[in-house]
Parts: sequence; C-alpha cells; structure tokens
Amino acid sequence: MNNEYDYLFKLLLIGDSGVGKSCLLLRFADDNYTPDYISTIGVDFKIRTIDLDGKTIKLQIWDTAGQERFRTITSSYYRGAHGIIIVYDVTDQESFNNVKQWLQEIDRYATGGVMKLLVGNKADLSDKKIVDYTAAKEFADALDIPFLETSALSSTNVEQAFYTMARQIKAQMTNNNSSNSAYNSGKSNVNLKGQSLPQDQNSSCC
Amino acid sequence: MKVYSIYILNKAGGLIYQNDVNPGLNRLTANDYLVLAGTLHGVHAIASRLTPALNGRDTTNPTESHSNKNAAILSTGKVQDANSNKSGLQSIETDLFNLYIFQTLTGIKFILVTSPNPVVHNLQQINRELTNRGELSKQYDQANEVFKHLYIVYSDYVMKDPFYSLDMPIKSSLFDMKVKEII
Repeated sequence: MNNEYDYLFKLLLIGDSGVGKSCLLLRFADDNYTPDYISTIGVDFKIRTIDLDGKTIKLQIWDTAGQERFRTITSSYYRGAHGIIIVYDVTDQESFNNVKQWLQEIDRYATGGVMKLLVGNKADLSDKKIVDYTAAKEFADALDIPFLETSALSSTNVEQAFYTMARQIKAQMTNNNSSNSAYNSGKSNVNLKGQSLPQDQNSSCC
Repeated sequence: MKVYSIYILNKAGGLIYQNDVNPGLNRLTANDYLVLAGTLHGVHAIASRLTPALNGRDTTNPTESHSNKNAAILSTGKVQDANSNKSGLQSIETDLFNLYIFQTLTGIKFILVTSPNPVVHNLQQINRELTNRGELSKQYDQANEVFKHLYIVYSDYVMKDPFYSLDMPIKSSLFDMKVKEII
C-alpha cells in the first residue's frame, strides 16, 4: 500500500513575488526551465523522490505565492513543515531586504525548530547582480542559517539546495530518535532490577 | 455503502497512509495522491473559515470567534473545540463516489472514498427519507461509524507503536490488518 517511501518531508518555498521560487522548483522536480512568468495562485505542489542512506524520501514541496494578496492563505501552509527555503533574487536588493520579514513570518506560523535555508536565486545574471555573496553569507551566518546561491536557468546548486535541506531534516530526525533511546537505555531514573533495600538500618520503631 | 479507499493525512496535509480496501477506483500515481491530500488539506482549511456560528452559540461575535479558533488551530496545531469536526469540509458527493473527511482534535484527517449515495427516484420519497433520517443520511452515519473505529485502531496500533515516528508514513502490517477488519 504505502511501501513506496520511508519518509515524507514537507518543504516550503517562500520569498517575494518573482524571485523564481516556482522556477527553482520546476528545475528540481522536473529538471525543466521556463522563462515565462506565471504568478502562483495560493499554493502549488511538486514532489520528488530522492534516496538518502538507503531510505526513500518523498520531498513534497509546497510552492507558495509571493504576492501580498495571497498571504492570508499561505500562512496556513506553514504548519507542520519540516523545512522552509527562503528565496531572494540576487538582482533585486528589495527582495533581499524582505528576507527579514519572511523570517518573522516563519517565527509566527511555523513549528519551532524548523530547518531554514536561505537561497539567492538568478545567480547566472552576474552582470546585473546587486546583492553581494559575502553580504548575504554574513547575514545567514549571523542567523545560523545555511546559504546558497542558485540558478534555476543553469541549474547551478539547485540539487544541492534541496539535498542540503533533506539531509539536515533527516539528521535531525535520527538525532531525536537516538537521543530518545539514549535517554531510555542510559542512566534512567527508575531502577527496575529489584534490588533489596539496605538492611543495616534497623528500625527502632516497635 | 462500499468503502473503496482509506487515506490518513497528518496535520501538515501529508499523506501518511493509503489503503485501497476494495477495488473500483482508478489508480493514480503516488505523487498524484500526495497532491490530492495536500489540496484537500488546503480546501478544508479555507472552508473552515466559511463556517457560520453553530446554532447561535457564538452570539457575541461569530467572525471574531472563528478567526480566533482558526488562529488557535494554526498556532498550536490543535483544535480546542470539541465540535472541531463541524467546521471545514465533511463530505464531497459525486454521482460516482462519495468522499468523507473526519478531522480529529489533533488535526489528523481520516478520509474515506466510498460508493455514491443510493439513487432515490422520486421526490416524495426523498422528502420522506430526509425527515426519517433515512437512506441519504444513513450513508453519512455509516461513514462516521467507520471513522470512529478507524480512530480507535489508529490510536491503538499506530500511536502505541514504539517504532513509529510521528507524522511519517504508517507502515504497520498489524494496522493494515485491523483496518481490513473494520471494513
């Protein structure tokens, strides 16, 4: 029935309108590119199956609409997401400035401890580039978020972006499990071995 | 009522269980099922905003109380109100199949795809049936009965499985077996 995949991760793409979220996704899921701009309405899904350490993982990627007027709907999609990818356009300073707002949005709606990744898209347009790599890298490092520059057109770093995310989520998951089992098997508070109590305390009562 | 398929969605709208208990439906690709699940999740979320106040209970300010309720669901992932399943989407009826949705307090969705409503040929009969809570609502009640049992089996054989990780695909042959027993 459900034996096709071992894990199901929910990833979310957010960022300003027109930064190339849908193109990034199209490249990753279908290895395709379209120069046409079609605004996403509400939300769109793409799914890709990957293999990590012998486990089949379905990445269900929810591509949200960047436009303000769809904002009310998209907030309800943050729930239960394992990873969120914040995308900005390296040729558009405004979209980079807005990353802060998107991060606030994550804090407000997403589950705590959700994996984040900052992506600067359209890296192929080097002559029009405005947002400096080092500036963005510093910003990401300060917040302890991994950072990559990608290009949906030439498919640079696109695979890495999603694989980085998937690997982190999986690592976090197995970490949680192993820490739980360590807690259970390690120095536990409850002793079930049934030792008899020390006998030397002779009771003086009656 | 014949149950074709059972789906279970986690609180994020991901399909974590799928069981085609009776043949009859066309098969989709695995990805299409995930898209279907995600879409139903989204439609359910938006539809719950349409829900009017229940029987004048929230007389103070219905829109506000509902948006509060929604905010609570979104922020905590839980429905605090016992009538949680009253809002949102409960069933989709078509000529060839019916689809029923049941959302638990913790936001898990159980979905049933069943055979369509029995055909009632004359209007008088429909009226009589409706007033007697007859054939038409019977199927809905049956679906709810199945949901109740599914929920119990889910709690017993998925939630108590020490090897199950939350919100991930359910792969338990024991659960499969118990589901078959319900149907």
